[in-house]
Amino acid sequence: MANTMVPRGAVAVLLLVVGIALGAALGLMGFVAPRDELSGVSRDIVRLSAAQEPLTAYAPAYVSAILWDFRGTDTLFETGVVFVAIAVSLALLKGSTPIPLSSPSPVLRTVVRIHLPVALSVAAALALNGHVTPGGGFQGGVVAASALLIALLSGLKAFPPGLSGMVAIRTLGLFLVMLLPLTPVALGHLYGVEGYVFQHQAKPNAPLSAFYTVNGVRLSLSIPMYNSLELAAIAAGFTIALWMLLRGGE
Amino acid sequence: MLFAVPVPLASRLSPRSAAPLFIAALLTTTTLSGLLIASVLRSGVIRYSLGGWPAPIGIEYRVGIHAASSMFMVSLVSLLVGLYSVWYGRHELGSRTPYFYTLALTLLSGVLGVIATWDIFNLYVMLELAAASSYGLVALRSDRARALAAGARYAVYGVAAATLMLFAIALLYYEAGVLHLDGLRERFTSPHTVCGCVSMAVLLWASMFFLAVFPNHFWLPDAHSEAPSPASAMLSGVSMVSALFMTSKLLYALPKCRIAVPVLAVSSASSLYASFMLARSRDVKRALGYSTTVNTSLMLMGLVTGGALGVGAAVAHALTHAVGKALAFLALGVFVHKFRTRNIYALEGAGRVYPLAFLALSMAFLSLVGLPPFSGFFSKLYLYYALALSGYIAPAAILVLVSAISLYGYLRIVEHLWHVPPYAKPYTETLSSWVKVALLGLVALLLILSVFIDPLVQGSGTSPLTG
Amino acid sequence: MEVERILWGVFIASLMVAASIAIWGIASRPNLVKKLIALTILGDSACLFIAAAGFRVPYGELPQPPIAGYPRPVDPLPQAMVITAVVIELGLVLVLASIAVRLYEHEGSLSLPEILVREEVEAEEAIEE
Repeated sequence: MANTMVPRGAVAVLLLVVGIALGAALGLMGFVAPRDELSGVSRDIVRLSAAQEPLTAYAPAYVSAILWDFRGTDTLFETGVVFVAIAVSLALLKGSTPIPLSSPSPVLRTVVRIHLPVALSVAAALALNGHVTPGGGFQGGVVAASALLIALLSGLKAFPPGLSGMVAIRTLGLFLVMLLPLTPVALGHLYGVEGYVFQHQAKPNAPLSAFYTVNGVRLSLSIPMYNSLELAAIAAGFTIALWMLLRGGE
Repeated sequence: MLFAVPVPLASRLSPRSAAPLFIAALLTTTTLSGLLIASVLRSGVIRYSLGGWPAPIGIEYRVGIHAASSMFMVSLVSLLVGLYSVWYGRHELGSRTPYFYTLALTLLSGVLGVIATWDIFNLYVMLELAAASSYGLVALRSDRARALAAGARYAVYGVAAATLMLFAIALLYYEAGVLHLDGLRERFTSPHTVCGCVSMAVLLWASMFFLAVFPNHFWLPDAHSEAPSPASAMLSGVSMVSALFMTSKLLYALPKCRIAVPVLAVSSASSLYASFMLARSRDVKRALGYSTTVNTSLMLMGLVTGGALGVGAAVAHALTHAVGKALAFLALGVFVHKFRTRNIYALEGAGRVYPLAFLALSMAFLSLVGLPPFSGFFSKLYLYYALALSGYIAPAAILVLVSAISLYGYLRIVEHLWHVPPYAKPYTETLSSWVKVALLGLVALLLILSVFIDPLVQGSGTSPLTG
Repeated sequence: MEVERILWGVFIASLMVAASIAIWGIASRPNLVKKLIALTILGDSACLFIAAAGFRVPYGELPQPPIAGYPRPVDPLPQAMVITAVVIELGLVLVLASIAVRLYEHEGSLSLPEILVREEVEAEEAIEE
């Protein structure tokens, strides 16, 4: 059955009309006007993220707290989607013709040699501090991946891990991210207490907690762990993916 | 209670290496799901708050008898398909086999996640996990341009549908302030709001895409026919179970919308159209693809009648369809692989070469069309009851009509496979043991399942989905 | 007060218009890469819409970031949703891009309807698997 191509003009006009009408209705008539107060859930999350009381996430940056503590499952499986995407690109692109690249100029190579360590440190800082300041594993991973890719494309000769090494890093990273949520359960069994999957800090009936203390303030230890694993997995993963797209798996 | 979560996690990372790891993962998942059913039977609906955060703040997974049975059946079917795919991978996929294993496992994870989750955004994430795996599986035979194109089309429209879901989720969150299905349901029980109606329309449209109901079915015939046979088995069978659960959760979250009549009309039309295409099709795998559309339309019809019977019947039919469709694809795959063609006329007499597979295929068709003693009969019967008892006589009649048309279509395939052209000399070959185990296992499942359909549907009261 | 309301309305309306154009683009452009671009536009406008749903600003003040220490932060939950959705979208774009690269190598064209129709004509005879 061939692709159905309806008369373009009609569809275009129809869609535009619908779109504008919808937008006008929603926007101008105040249906999606910004509210004044946070919703109940978010208010609780905000309160509980940074607090130092019994039920908390010990993480001042709310978004990272949500990503890894309140909604860790979402993040885990979303990293899984990235994993699937990389697997697909590996499966499809093995042995495809590489895009020819011109040889890089010495200017580029020198700049990259300076840029690469700086970028990698920025990436690490983003990831490790993700629970205190905006940032996190993804952001760091993406920065690292782009830095690595620029370095690779500009002809850095010996790249230690190589393609299969990168695949190993990514797989290991994801595997650990999958195991880590299960550790509270395991530890719970060992110590005879209750432990939830993806639990970071203590809950009323589950006393396991992972934090460190700075100047008397408790901060989450588990979130930085997740963030660093994510950094490794994403950095390796996207480097692989973009490399496959460009060079077809040399 | 602990088993609830590891089940989606248990299948994931896979083997760049070997089949044993793949099979082990499938076995583990199946066992855990089985234990899950035991748990649910013992203590009722399981609610698990991930991370220990109580319901609206965190994500909750809720598993009732429907969900548990579905998770178990889905894992079991995948296990049997997995056994078959060991043989298939060796002979067809070659070096791409490890990727098949990986994608199949992630598909299973996504499906299990959709079935278990009680949070609308988590539903989206799991859906995308399953969908991304499906796109990869369809396009896996990358030496074939048609497969790539089918995968591309599926992917483009699939991502569009899912993104539209995101819009709807944003609207729902804006109105309700929660992402938890119960919270949404509470908020939207009061009469219609603009956001609620718009979201429902969008979500329904997207669901119909993933369920492949006409007019959103256009991706399916190409995609399911071009995918490697075990992948088609999983996509047509297993993913549709999750699509059904997704739709029912969306309906649960937004209960007041009066969508029954339009959806029934569309699904009836869809099933009629698909059954005609099934009967006419010259490509056997395409025919099976249309058959999937027929069955999902029927499931959708059952679902929207509302009430415990409709939901139970729809879920039961999803499960019997999963088994039957998987069996059909696997059996057909044997013939297609041997004779290198999917054309029904070119496969004339192929049935004699592998009598076991032919027998299995016939049984699968009998179940799909709804004849006793196969489980398909019971599930279709319940669907019919659900429709008729709710007063929707016309759709019930259409169900019967569609079954008749599909029967013709299936018989046609069977006849072509069995009828040997006068000049040919029949011979037989033996199947690989992997294949035999898989086929026999699925046939057994088809029969055994009949026993469980009744309690499954009658037990609908305990499932969280009703009401 | 009124001006801000209208501006906000324009913002939402433009998101919707972008989304509609993107949907139209997906349906009407035969080239796979163009579909992909339209898809990206759609995805990004959806993400923006989600983030907008979380906007908390009393008109006249500046919005405040979701970190501890700010008394009236914007809603962090949609932002987390956006991070997740963007990463997922990225993965799917990657899948489509891989398919596109392979398809181009195979056929020399990226026009989906052409490929499907052309191959279907072959398929009518004897289908090779």
